[in-house]
Amino acid sequence: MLNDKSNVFNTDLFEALELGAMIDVAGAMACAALQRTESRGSHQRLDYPDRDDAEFLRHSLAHYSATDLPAIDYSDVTITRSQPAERVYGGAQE
Amino acid sequence: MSERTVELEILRYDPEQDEAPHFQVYTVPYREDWVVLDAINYVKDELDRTLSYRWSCHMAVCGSCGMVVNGEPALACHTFLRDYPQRIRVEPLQNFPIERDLVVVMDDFIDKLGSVKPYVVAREEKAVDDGENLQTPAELARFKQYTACINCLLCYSACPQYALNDEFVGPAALALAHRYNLDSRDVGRSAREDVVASNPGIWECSFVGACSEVCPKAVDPAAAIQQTKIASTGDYFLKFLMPWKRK
Repeated sequence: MLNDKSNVFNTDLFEALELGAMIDVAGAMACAALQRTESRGSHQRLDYPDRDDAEFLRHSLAHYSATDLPAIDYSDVTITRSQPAERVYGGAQE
Repeated sequence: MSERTVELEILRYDPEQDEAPHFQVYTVPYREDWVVLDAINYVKDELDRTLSYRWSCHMAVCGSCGMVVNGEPALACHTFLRDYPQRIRVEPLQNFPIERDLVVVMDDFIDKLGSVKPYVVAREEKAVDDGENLQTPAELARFKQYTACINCLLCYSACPQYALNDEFVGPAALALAHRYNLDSRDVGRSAREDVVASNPGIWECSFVGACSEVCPKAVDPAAAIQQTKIASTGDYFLKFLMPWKRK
């Protein structure tokens, strides 16, 4: 509930507006993550521990819907200098 | 044993409701590791949603939370409760109009900052494909300290000269002008001179040095201004000796 009714530098209001935007973004991320049945970078799934370039070397695009969950589709990645490779740490590098 | 607390005496002003600013006292918990900003956030989250103030990074990088804490301009995120008495007075920055509560109107500074061309004025336009403008470590060292300014405005709040005359271009803007004047990639010094080397520019500074004392990033704007005074005095006399050199 908004307690601050002022029209001047009302941070109570803009925090409420920010919260709405954060919920939209969080929803987009959760829906995209659920459909991305692989693990990649900071997106790690215990049920799909391996990276799947054939299916998911693509950007997830979330489309806003006022009434439904965001619709997810994909676009190609343009790879320039850095080639994708498995991220390995410590002794696994050798 | 009752919990240790701190009393925050915060200046409140809502132009829609208040005829004049007034203080409101909030009692907040004391924590050894809390900075003043944590205590203010506690007020906002737990006690009073109507309190307005600027903050963002909580680590002395963004320059948003400049305030006057017990009479001294300071970053609220950079001042520990443990270094203050039990009652702490928090006011907006001095020398700027209050917009609301701890938020000041900073338009005057933003205009002055723009007026000193705070960017590299290149000798000639260069396409991105032509690569970087290289600089040696020694060339960087000449101005690096002046790049650390975070535009927090503590120096304007502390400056007695800006308090007397708000035409004064002021410490941060003049320090940034100096930063670009010293940059080996920059040729903007003469273009900045109208603003910088004028009466309301460097010559309004009386070298009190309060700006450098309160600067949280050790920029030392007072030194920048005195160095600029020397450089532009040199320019003035060179103009007679070598009239062909400068337009």
